[in-house]
Amino acid sequence: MKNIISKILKNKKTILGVVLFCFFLNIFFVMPARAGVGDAVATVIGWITYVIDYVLGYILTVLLGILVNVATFQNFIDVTAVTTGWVIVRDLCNMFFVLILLVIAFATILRVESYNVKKLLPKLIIMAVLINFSKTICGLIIDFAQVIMLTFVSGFADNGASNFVTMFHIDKYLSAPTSAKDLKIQETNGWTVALGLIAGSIALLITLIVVVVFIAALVMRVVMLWIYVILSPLAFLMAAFPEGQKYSQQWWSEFTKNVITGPVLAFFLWLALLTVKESAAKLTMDASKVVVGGTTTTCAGSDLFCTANLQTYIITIGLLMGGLMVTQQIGGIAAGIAGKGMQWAKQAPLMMGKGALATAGGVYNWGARKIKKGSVSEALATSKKVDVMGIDPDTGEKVKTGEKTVWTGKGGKFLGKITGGIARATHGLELRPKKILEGVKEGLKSKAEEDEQQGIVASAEGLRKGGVGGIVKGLGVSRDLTEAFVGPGGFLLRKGFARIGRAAKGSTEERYQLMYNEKKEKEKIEGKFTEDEMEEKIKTGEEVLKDTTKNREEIMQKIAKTTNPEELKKLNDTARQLNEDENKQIELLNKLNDDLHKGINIISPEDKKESLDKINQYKEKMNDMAPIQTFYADRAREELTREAQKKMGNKDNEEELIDMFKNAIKNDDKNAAGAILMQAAKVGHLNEIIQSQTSDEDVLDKNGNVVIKKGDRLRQGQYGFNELINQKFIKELGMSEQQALALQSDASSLAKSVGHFNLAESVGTRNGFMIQRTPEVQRARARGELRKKDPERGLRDFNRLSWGDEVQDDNGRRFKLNELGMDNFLEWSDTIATELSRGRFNKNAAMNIAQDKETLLNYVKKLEEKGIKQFHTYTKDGKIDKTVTYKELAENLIEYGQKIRIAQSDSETGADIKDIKNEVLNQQTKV
Amino acid sequence: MIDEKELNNEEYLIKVKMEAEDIISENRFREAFDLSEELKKGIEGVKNFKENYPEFFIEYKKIIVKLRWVGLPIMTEEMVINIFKNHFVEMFTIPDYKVWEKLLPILQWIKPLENRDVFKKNIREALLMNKQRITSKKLIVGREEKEPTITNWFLDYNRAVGALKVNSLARAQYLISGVNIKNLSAEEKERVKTLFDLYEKLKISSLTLEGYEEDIPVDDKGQEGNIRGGVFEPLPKLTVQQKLVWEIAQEVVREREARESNIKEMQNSINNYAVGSLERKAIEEEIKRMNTEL
Repeated sequence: MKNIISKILKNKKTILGVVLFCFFLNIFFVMPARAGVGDAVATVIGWITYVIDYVLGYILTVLLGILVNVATFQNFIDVTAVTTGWVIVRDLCNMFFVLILLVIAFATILRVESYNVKKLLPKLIIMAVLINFSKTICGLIIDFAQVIMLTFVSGFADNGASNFVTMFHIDKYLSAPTSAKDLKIQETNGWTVALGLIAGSIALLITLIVVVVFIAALVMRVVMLWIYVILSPLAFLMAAFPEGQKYSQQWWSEFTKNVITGPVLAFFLWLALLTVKESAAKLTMDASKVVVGGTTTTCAGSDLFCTANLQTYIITIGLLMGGLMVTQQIGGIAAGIAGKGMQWAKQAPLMMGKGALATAGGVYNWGARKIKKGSVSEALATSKKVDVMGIDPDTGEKVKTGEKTVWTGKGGKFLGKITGGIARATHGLELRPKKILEGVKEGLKSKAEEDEQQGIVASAEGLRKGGVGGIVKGLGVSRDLTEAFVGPGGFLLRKGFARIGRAAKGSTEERYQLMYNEKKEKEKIEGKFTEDEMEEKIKTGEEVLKDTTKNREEIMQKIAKTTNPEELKKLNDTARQLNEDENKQIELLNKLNDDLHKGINIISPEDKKESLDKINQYKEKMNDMAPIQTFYADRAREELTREAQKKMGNKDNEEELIDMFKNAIKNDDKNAAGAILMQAAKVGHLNEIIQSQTSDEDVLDKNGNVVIKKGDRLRQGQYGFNELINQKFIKELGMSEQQALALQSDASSLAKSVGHFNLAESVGTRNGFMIQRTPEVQRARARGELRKKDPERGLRDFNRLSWGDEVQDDNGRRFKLNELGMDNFLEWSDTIATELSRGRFNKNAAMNIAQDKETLLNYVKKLEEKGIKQFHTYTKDGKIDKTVTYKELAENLIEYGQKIRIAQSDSETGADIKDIKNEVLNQQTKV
Repeated sequence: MIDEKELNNEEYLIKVKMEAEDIISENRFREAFDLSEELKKGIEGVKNFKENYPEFFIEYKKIIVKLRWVGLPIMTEEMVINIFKNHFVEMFTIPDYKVWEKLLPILQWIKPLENRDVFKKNIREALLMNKQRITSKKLIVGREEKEPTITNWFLDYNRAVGALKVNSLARAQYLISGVNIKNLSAEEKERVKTLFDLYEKLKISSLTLEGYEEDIPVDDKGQEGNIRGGVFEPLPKLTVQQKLVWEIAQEVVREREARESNIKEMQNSINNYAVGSLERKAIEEEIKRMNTEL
């Protein structure tokens, strides 16, 4: 028998089986005999739930006590861990100062600017002092926050945990509904008890989670503040030198966040305790207004689930969760915990909300439906569109530069975003935490997005309308590409480009205002002189007149002596010219004297100085706040270009592209024209597009000479490219200047990428705005880019369009060597000699250079006049191989090009490609 | 269109090869693309060309792929993805080929910038799926021996340095001391380096300063230069000699323009005088003289 019992006891499965057998025997046979099957199940569930409730309740009671204790904790800087730890860190930091002094000494010797003694030493000394007071400084800051925090905490700490019991209605979780009104609805039986217990557990669980999160947040705050105080000397040390400032800032940011989270959490706890009853009562009143048929209060299982109590409970939990959300936004360790707490809590209230609404009946269901329809969301998400105004630099008038949405919630702009976000995200007031969180996230995101949208909308609108200012109005209204680069710690700032770094500052409106002011100030002094300046001008004029007269008289004497008719003719011409100059000069002097006496165009020196000072100030300010490149404005244009590109397809045929471009201009379709320009640039036909257009006006160079005559074809190169943009895109198609220049810049970048350097670098930026470069500047910049290329590749891969421009006139297309080509010739001379001997010089380039041989030879002649006559070629090991004159090289290059041309025309007339290749190779050998 | 008779003619093939080499050697990208299209249409237009003339087919295919690499800027985005997915290795048959320089115009053409990132991602994915053998010896990835395909190289690379953005130091370390790298010849090492350099470059978003494909020009006084790939490159300062020769070049251009302008003016005014008149003769002579000077 003993053995049997010990065997049974050893076999756990048998024991479990027996217990379960008895349990189910009781449920299915004993209990039904007494009260029916349903009640029996309800009773068992009730038992289990009761045990859970008991455990949860016990934990909650303990935790509420802890919560009060933690909230009232004050000892931040005097705990042993802090005092001991801080002393060690402080001493360590003090030791480092010696090391840093050495670094500064070396850096100063080596002229490392960022570690220079003048820059670093004052900071270092201040920090050396502050390190020893770091604990006190931290203590002061923490104390300041604690004063605020304890103001709230003392409001609820006096009664200890009892406050929370009332606030959370813990006493009601497990009590049955008692009022007559409640009993009228509910009949008490096994299920109502079980339901009450289950509901009680859910409520307990939610309360427990919220309380745990609060405790954890507060405890971690305390611990983290201890750690930050211990590390505080390091933060001060790091602030003393450039590379450490990042870490110092990080310390300050985290420390501040943790300091702030305490008062915020305490405030919401206090607020929940203080206002919960009133808030709930208000909701009851509001809700009762919409009750159809005057339905009375409903209860579900326990007292907590009677309407009024449940509302109070929801509001309490809501307020506390709101507190956690705000804390999460503030950051810090406590915030991290608050965030995680929100994740834990999200499931329980979901069940709670559903269960409560389902059970509580009509009022909530109706209310929830009503809310979901959006009446509350609309109230929360009330917004209005307001115009963003700027000042037109030309007229000085206020103009609309865009639109922005302003949320008009009670909580102001920021709160408006969050509430608006919540409402928009959930299409109604949501009780589900997951959705609420999504809403909050979206709300916070919307601030950034609004800025973004504003930029895009304003720019796109400007583009579509093509109105005055066009794309410029999109400038600076939001973060642009540059701004992203120059934000705190951004690349340009780190590299020390402070001016560019400051570019993010300032709005379009401010820049426009400054531009306008500058323009007005310039107008005030334009063509005006002080009396001294005028007298100086007259004096200079008189001297010029004197010289001219003297010259004329000398010429006259020569004329008297000369007998040679040709020379006489020349002298006569000169004398005539000098006479004309004399008359003009006299006329000018008379006018200046007249002005001086009558006070015309005369300005006082003070006024002039004031204006000049103002102009300089405006310029400086503009420099400070100008962005380099506007991302959003470009983006809007790009969107439209992309649409046009899609319609256009991937064309690379020259004639087709020209026809399409002409049609686009004819149809006034600037987007299509832009897209074709980009496509042409990508496939290397930008030059043909430029030449396909005729000039609508005379184009002058900087000296006033006509470069392109009205009615002539635009010439390839910067003159033509600029005119294509100015005449066709800006004047004819009505594109705004900045938009058109952004397009020119894009096309120019593409030209450079495909090796057409004569169209590269055509647009620059100054004061944050794009500018069209003059042909001289463009060529100098393009030359700078070309020089970065490997000469061998340059000579092999780049065709004529990296050597010169192409013009099209009545005689057809003609190539003209320009400064780029001449510079290539000189800079790459030794490689040219080698590549010619190998037959690896770009044939297209060679043929065209040969066509404009006069320019090349003239250049070489002028070089010789300046003593630049010859160069050396080098062997592989860097020794001088040969000495070659530039003239020889030029002649070889021309000969090579001419032979290629002959060979190619033979090919066009049907000669075999193999023969041509051989012929070319033979010619190359000769060269 | 090229017909069957031409396509299966050996002389014609040699002629095409020479022409292709000529185009490739001078980077004439447009001609390269056009010729590749013409050849493709030609061989597709002949029924069963692949089956009937397998040797010719392979030769033309090789030429077409090489021409396509040169003509990359002209190709559609889809075609570009395809060549990266199936023919990356052929790229190395072109001497001095700079793949990034070829991709640049395509990227610069794509607007807005987000679309460039998508395109870059697509190329990366195409490379990851490329089954071509890029080196000769088998790879050891983990404990397994694998074919030296581009896909498997990426497997090894990502295991060693991670799939996220890899800094140049980690990449260099892998390219020097990677287990599989050590067995490679210098040429193969260069191939693998090109592959991973490109891959890393394609990871950088165009929305960042580092990955923005265009240069950002700066013309403000004292800070002239370009921001390129996240680095400010100041305009190089010219030496006295360089300034002098640049001025000479400008002078040459100025003189030429003035001379041409004068000639043009005279040519326009010549019609104001009767044929045979003294004035007309004088002008004609002057034009002649100026042209001779030219």
